[in-house]
Amino acid sequence: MSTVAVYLPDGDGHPGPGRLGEASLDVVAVGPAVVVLPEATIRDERGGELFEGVSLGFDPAAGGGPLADPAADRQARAFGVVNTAFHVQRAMRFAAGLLGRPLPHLVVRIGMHDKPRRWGGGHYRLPGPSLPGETSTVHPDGEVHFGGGRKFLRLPAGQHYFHAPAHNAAIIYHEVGHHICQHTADFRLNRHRPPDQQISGKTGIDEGTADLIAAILLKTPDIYGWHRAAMPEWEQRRRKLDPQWTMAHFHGRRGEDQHADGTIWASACWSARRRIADRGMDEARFDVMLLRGLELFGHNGVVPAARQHATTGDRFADALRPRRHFSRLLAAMVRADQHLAPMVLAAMAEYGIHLGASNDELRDAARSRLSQQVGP
Amino acid sequence: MLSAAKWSYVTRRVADRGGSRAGDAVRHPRLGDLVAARVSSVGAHQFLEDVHGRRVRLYPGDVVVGVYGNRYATDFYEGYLPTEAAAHLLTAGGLVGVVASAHQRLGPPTELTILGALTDQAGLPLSLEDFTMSPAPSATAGLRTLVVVGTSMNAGKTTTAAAIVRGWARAGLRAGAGKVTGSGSGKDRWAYVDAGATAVADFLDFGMPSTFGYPVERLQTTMIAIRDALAEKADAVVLEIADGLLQEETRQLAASVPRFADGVVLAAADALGAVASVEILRELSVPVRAVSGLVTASPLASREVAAATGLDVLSPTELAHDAAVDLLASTTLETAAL
Repeated sequence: MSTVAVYLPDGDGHPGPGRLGEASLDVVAVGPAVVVLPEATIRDERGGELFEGVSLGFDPAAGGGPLADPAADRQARAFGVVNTAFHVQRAMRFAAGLLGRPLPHLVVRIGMHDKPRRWGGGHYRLPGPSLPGETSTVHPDGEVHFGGGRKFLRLPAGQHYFHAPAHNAAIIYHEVGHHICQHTADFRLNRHRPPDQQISGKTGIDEGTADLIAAILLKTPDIYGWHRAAMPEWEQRRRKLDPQWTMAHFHGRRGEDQHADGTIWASACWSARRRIADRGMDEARFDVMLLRGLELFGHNGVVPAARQHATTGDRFADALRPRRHFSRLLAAMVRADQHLAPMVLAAMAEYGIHLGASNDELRDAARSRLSQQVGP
Repeated sequence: MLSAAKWSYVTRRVADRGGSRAGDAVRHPRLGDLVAARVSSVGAHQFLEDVHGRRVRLYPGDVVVGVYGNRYATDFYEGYLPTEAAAHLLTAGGLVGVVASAHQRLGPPTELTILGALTDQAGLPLSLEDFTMSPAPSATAGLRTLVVVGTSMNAGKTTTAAAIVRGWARAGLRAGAGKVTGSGSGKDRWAYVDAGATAVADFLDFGMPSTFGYPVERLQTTMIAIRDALAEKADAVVLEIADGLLQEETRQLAASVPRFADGVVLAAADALGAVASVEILRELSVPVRAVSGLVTASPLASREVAAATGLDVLSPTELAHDAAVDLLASTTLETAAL
């Protein structure tokens, strides 16, 4: 175990990257700009000699970035690799502990897609044909890509901080959440596709589950409260998990922001988890229910035999459609823990999520109820 | 009389407008003196910018309050302090003087009859020097500063500076913007504000309605004072110097850039002007970070400039995105007191 400096989740809603502190990291190897863990490889693609000494304790250096001098930027990048490694390991071990099995090795690449414009986001990628600008060699088990950062944030004391995604645990957890979804629920039925024909596009349920995992690990519903502090909490783009987001707000259309639909699912799950805690039970039981539900969901994804000979384009269409439905994952979670089911179903119902209905049906019903409440 | 007057933009720092009178001062006009005048005929300037920068239509007989000054504008007027009661409106911002030469496309100037210099209640002449901004502490050495200079008038300097402000603001930085030289106008100030500047200052804040005719030492001091005034509310500052590099004051101000700023962004009207200006700046040992301005409207001309200078040629749109932040990257600040 190595002692490292990282941002630890404080869970108290303070705006900022977290509490800077020491933590233990299980490291297999360290290269010039790479840290190899048992469960993941974290590499800064911009290269350089980030890790010259034996210590992995680096200063965040206010995120480094274009205004920092080269030494400070190097510190910030090194910190970013270590900070990412810590949170990736924590998330991967969280999932492995609940599933009772390790997830496939995850490759995380930092400083990606920074040309022609800087990139301040992250995404999870699988080897597939339809990803413009993506590298040709994506690891078959999946990769997380982070940009080097694009914007500056204002800290409470007034100084600016270059928002490098590798410094932001929320973004890290969200992307690892997609890796967890891919290797449990497999929302896009990728295991039935050729290795080089994987689908990286996410649906609302995938985005919502990734947000939920991030919220659980950060211990706050205001997942992105640091880098979206300028957005009001009631604005959907903030993606704070909140009871106001119900199926009445569901879009479900292609081209719409799937994250917004995912916030409905994640908010409902977060409420269910809180309800379990309010009844004096360990809220980690919900986490087990979620992970095992994802696993059960994934097992129930065989492409119907009648469609096996259809064209590639529509071979999966019929099987994929219901895999977007919140009720389907909810059903799998209910099967995973029938004791918790009544509490979880009651919480979900408050968001308009019920068993046995499609997302569109749930949306229409929720809007109908809403219009009845408002009345003419 | 003054209560109904149209107070021009260059008088915007005059706080107590009701406490001033017109007509009693006896001294000869000086740069920066406030003056009341009646519009005799409306010519090239049909509008006056009010103290907020709004364009106010002028009519014969209107009383306007402006400020005496010179103007150097190659595609407009060359103008100087008047020696008689007849004068001209040199800028829409309220600069009062006499036209010495004009661009041939222009019609006759708007004519004014001087009513008198403005005085305070004690009868003392009022000048913009009486309404200057308090000097700010010297900015820290780490304050990132870029200076926009141009090949000529209308090369796109303000557009370039505003695009840099926009790019910084989009990136989450507090952007300060200052105009070092030129003639007072609300147009430039609002361009910076609209782009997202958190702080704006210009030569008007330091007692000059127009900078033409002031000693270059005063302009250099003002340039640093503007930068310092912006520093408290900004993470990075862009300063715009008016006119083209062939104008002597502009050239001398540009030469001082290495002593307090990270470098220059050249706003060029055309490719040849860009290449010549880069050569001038290199002879002055001024680091040129990029070329922008009107020339970037033409992809071919942009390629010519890039090939001839080896510099990045960045359109305002590119600057308004990441390019403005990248201009701050990897720069070494060589700070020395002026």
